[in-house]
Amino acid sequence: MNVRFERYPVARNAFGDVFDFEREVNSLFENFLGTPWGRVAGSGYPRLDIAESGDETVIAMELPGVKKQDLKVLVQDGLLTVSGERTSPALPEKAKWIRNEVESGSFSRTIELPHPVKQQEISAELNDGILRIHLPKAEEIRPREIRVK
Amino acid sequence: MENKNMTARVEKNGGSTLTSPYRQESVTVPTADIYETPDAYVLSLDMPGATKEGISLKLDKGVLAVEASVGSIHAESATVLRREIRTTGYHRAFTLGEGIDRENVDAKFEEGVLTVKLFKSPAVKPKEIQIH
Repeated sequence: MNVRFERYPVARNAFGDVFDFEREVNSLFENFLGTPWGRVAGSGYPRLDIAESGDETVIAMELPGVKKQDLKVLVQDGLLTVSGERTSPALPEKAKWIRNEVESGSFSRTIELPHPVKQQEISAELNDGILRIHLPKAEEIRPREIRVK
Repeated sequence: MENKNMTARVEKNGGSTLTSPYRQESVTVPTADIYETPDAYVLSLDMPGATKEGISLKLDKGVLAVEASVGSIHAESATVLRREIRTTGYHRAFTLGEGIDRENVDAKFEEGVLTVKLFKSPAVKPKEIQIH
């Protein structure tokens, strides 16, 4: 497949998206043919990653524009729920929208904990729009080296 | 040749990627809000995982281009069990109309959101005429 698109369209309107047309065409192909390896690994909103290392599992979640105080992390009955709200800043007086793609409002996502955790030692931090929740493994499931006597 | 590229990409991203085989580059297009006030245009782009240092913002020939790299989200030693967050970096560009003051652009990056304020040049700002 060799399709080329004009990078900078001749007709320019204020705040037109340079790659809009290209994206539209690409999405037509994708919707029609499907991507070879499926869409997303799992689906849900907000998007998250789960990563495991020796003593803990880290859940990372994309939360741009969400403030710490508008976020709630709850661990209960083997489930982790992250919920909150993204408040959209009010449009200043005499302003008008040109594009409004960013969604605001409340969100919630629940996942099963991958293993028993030390509840008291769970910590979380929010940096550059990524929330990281550290879930320390419960003592009984931590990798343990057995010394041979 | 084409197939080789795809294989390499799959391995690099751990077997799951949103990349379309019809695109040469793999980037995320950040969602954008743009509003206009009497004296400026304000853009905000969602770019979670980007860092202030990794963002490049260029205004050239009437096109405003935003590019950003995304750092690694997990420790190198960690095993990623599920990957939904893309770390391919961000790219989006907008054509600008006339009347933007190129010397007067403000940008900040907070909570994973880049906000760019482009002030209008004095010639196009609405002006109220005083009646004597």
